Amino acid sequence: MNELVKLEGVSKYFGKHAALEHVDLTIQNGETIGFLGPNGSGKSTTIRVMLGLLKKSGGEVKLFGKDAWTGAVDIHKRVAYVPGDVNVWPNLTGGQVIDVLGKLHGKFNEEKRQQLIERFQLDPRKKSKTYSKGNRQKLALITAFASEADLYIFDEPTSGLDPLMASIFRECVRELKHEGKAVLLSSHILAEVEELCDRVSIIKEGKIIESGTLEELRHLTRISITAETKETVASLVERSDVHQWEADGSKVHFYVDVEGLAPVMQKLAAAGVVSLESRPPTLEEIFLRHYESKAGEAG
Amino acid sequence: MSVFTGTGTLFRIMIRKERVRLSIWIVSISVLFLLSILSFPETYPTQEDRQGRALLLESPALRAMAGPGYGIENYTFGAMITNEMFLYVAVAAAFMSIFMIVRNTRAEEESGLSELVKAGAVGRVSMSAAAFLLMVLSNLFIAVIIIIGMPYTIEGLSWEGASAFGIGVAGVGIMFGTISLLMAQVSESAGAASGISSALLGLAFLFRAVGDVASVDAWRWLSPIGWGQAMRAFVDERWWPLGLFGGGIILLAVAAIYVDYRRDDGAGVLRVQGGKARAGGGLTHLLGLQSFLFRWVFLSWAAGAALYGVAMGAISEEAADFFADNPIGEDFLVQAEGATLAESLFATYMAFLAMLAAGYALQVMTKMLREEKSGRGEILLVQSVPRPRWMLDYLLISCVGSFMLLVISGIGAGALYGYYTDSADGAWKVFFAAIAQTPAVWVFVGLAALLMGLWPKALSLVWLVYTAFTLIGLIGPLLQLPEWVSDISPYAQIPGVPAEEWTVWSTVILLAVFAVFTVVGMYTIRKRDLVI
Repeated sequence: MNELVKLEGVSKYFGKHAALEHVDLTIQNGETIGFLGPNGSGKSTTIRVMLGLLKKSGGEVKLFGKDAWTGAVDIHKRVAYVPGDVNVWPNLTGGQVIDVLGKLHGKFNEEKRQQLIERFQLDPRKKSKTYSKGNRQKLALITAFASEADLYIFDEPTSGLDPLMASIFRECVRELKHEGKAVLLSSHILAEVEELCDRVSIIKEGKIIESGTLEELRHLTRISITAETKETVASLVERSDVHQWEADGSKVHFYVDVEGLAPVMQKLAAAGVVSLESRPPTLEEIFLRHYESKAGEAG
Repeated sequence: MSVFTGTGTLFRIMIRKERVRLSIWIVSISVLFLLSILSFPETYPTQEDRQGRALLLESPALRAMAGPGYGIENYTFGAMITNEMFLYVAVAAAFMSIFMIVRNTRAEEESGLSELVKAGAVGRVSMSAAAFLLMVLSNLFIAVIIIIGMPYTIEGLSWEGASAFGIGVAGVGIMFGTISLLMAQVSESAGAASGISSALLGLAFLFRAVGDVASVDAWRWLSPIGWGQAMRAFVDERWWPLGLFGGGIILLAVAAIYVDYRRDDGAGVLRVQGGKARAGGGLTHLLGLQSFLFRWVFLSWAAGAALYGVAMGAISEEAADFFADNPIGEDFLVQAEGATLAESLFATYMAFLAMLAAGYALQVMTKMLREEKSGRGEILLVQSVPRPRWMLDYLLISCVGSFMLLVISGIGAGALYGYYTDSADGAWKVFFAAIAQTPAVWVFVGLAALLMGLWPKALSLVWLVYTAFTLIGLIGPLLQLPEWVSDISPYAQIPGVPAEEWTVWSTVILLAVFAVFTVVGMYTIRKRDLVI
């Protein structure tokens, strides 16, 4: 497989503050990667180091086999990027901004530009200063989707979009995937990442704390169980692999570590299970577990 | 809940927000004015000296730029101050009011802040009302300082005259503040609101100039500045022009409040027209885009430079006569053996012109950092624009633009001077003196480029350096600073042409400094983090 992006042990310091510590991240050709983490966790910093806007303090950053810092201009020709906070020139109209950025980027598809303006329902005649945050984001999205690139980087692209426009964004990303393009989607909209991404990396306080396919992540974590039994199963609560126990009469709800699933199931069966519902955790549950965890419960 | 609910609270918030900025405005206007008249009794000890000064007003060019000429027969200090300074103090108060009003009304709407405020228990027009109150109060403050200060500054100035002067200034200030309040309701952008208001102020200046030069009262009455002058401070005070101010202000304020009451938040009355859906060929390359973004900045500086050049050309001969019998003024002038007074005057004027051109150049260069901070730099750079290329455009716009300002002003001054003195040689000398300032201006550009590359967080230091050197240039000779202090200024490296001989080496040295700074700046900007 063709490795487009390779970050190895990347760190970034702002003065003494470590914004990134030993970040590893790879993107293969044709892959869609979800990049998860709350605000301030280092997502945008990672992306900016990748784009050669910030200089890494340590480690190695390569895009298309070139160093991100020294080869930035060549790399940019093959990348389309939508920043998290889109700021454009207030006195230019939306249409002008799209044209300016597209032409400067180089490979710009006129036909797609028209289609995308219609799909995203943008009025290109309005001055940018009259646009809302969502509309400014649309400008950058239209420019990116209409640009020919090998790697598309989106930094929280839907944070200002309404649900309808967010679904059009997802549609456009699926089309990119179909064309075999690589995508890095930084987001905290977990459903979006779950739907679109092949692999996920979760970053916390500048460190990658979890990385893999959704299946792998789920496998590593806990399963949600809702059960109704004839006899009480209250003794389960004492097991160290059972978490977040909730009991309501004969009904119980809890999470169990994957390794503990078999013994817990036997216990439930022995107690005369009436109804059982089990499902793998959603990405949201995985994410929240990493972030809300107190000492001791940390995954 | 009335439409005025919350005005008091908003007013207090506004005072808090504006306390530093407004205080600087108020103190600058009133105290600087008082300081500037302090030296008058020493400069014009006798009635004869004063009558000599009054002769200046015979010249149409000076009359256009000074007062109407009331009290010229018996030119007291009061009459002198009113004729020569009322205009400028009033215009300064008007600018203060315009900017303050727009900053607190339309600009807040543009940024979305007013939406947050108006969603609270706040009446529809409370923001406008609070801004209006603060504007009126600020102008009254200026009036009070002037009224109390003037009789203390110069002995013999009457309370009555000072009152007419101070209230006249406040009247003009409040009038234009109220005009801008209406403009802030009518237009949809803060830029347009302060632009239209400033244009109206310029028109008011022009109308009274026409009226004063031609001694036609009708033109004077068209201008609120003319109303203030018609109060004839220190000559024979008249109070009825206050009725004009009162009527005008009430009418405009009611209109502004009414429009504010009727319109939607964020909307105006003048609709913003649909713009172009496509960018033309000129915009889609980098230099074209940047030039487009700076076109209004350049044009407004160019208008100022042209006006300055024409004014200097027009008054050069008369001013030279004036300086001939005014020893204090001569300290300002470049002194050189064998130079005519007009040449010395031009040499001094060129040094001021260089400061003006450097002001434009630095405005362009410092914009670069603001672009970088706002994320607009980032979005350009990721479109495969190399960083030195990005900086190059700012350098070009800054250097070429400042050179053009010098050319424009030089043409204006040279042409008029040549016309008055009937000397093509004189015209060329003046023009050349203007463009000879280029290297000094470019050194500031180079310094900005250097900081942009090496230490962007300290870029605002260029303004400090610029202000320091400008102040040294302006008042250094009067302060009698040690020579080396004024000698480190780039302005001082340029010989005082046309009074002094131009030298190649000073130009070459300054250009070399500029080149080194620029190259280091362009090299180091590739080596640093983007400021985000």
